[in-house]
Parts: sequence; structure tokens; C-alpha cells
Amino acid sequence: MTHPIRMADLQALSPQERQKALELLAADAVGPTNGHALAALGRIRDYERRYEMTSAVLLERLSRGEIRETAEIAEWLFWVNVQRGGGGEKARPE
Amino acid sequence: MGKKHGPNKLSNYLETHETVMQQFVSGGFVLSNGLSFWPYGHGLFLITGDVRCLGGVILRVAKVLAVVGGDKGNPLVQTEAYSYNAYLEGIGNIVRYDSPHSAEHRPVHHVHRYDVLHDDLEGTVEDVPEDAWPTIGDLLTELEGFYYDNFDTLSKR
Repeated sequence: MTHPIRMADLQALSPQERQKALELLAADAVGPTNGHALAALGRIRDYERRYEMTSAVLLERLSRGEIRETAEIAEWLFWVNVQRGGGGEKARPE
Repeated sequence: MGKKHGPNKLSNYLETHETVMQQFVSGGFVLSNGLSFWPYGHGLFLITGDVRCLGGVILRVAKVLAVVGGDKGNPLVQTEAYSYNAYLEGIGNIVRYDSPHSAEHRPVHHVHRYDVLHDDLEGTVEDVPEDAWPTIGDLLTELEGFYYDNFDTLSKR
């Protein structure tokens, strides 16, 4: 599993090092989910414990207008969407 | 409809990001770029972390790039989801752009805006037209404008 790379550090790499780093990152990205995915799941579980509700209940209560979407809840939703495979309704233009 | 958020080679995407960030660092508005880039698997990359700016402005980024084609070593990538939350450290949120959350809750791109210097904790929400949502650079430009519009208050922080 490739470690995360600080984007500010990419500039310091030589062209060869940079290419190698990108190849390793790309190979991991198209492989199966890895330890980073487990970390993402851990974040979701943290939110669920702190708010004492499952992500499914969060979505139901948001759609009924019972909960306000705060910055932290937006982060929670982001990670739920990542875990589900990427985007909620997709950011990509059709 | 423009191609602002169309597919791009990974190397080009990262180079553009670095160039834009470097411009803000050189200009003095961005103090540190704490963003990390990491492979998630299943064809996804993530960008997460904080960009610290003048005046206690912090931009928290969470973004998903999906591999949509191209070479194995330098794939074509495209933004799949994002949440860009800018806040004033110790005070509150300034603005947050989010991609669609779900079919039931905010199914379109949207922006939350807060009158943060006047104790506005709830803010307002507006939809953002498809493909008009900002890049990280666009949002840094907006935040730089916010900083200079409120220079007398923020420069003392």
C-alpha cells in the first residue's frame, strides 16, 4: 500500500522520482480498496459513535429536515459517499 | 457547458494544482499547503487536508478523483465528489461548497455561505449550476477576496 504523499512535496521530486511515485499511486488506486479504505470506514464509525446514530439514520433524518447539515456532517456524508464508491450523485458533468 | 471539470491526465492535474498553489504561496495568501494525495483503491484517489491562509482562514479539502481511462501509469482522472469547507479558526464557517450528497438530501452541487463576522451560525444554502462549482484555486481566490474585503478585522488575527 502506497503512503499518502503531501502535495507540497511533489515539487521537490526529480522528474524520475515523480514519475515513479505517480505510477505507484496509480497502481494502488486501481487495485482493490486498501488500508486507506479501512481508515475511511473508521472515520464513519467515529461519527456514528459520536452522534449515536448510523449513517443510514443520518441520511433519513437529513432528508426529513430533522438535522441541519453542518460542516462536520458534510464531512461525514463525504466519507459515506467515498465508502459507497465515490460520489453521492456524482460531481462529474454528464 | 464548459470543460472546466473534464477528465485530465493525473500528471497534468497535479501540475496544475501545484502551479496554482504556488501562485497563492508566492502571493502570500497561502501560508501552508497541508493537502495529501492518496490512493483509495477501486479506481479512486483522495485529496484531503487543510490549506492555511492569512487572517486565520483555513480551507479544509476532501475530494475524490476517479480514474476514468488513460494509461496505467498516468491515468485520466476526474472529480467525483468534494467538500471544500473554509472557516475562520476559532470563529466559524465562511463558505462550504459540496458536491451532491444523495438522491434524498441536496442532490445537486450547492454552497453554504455564512456571515461569519456577524455570528451567523446557520448560513444560507444555494444550488450551484452543473460545472460551475469551483476548483480549489477558484475558492482560494474567493477567500483571498474575503480576506482583503475584511482586512481591517482579519489582519489583526
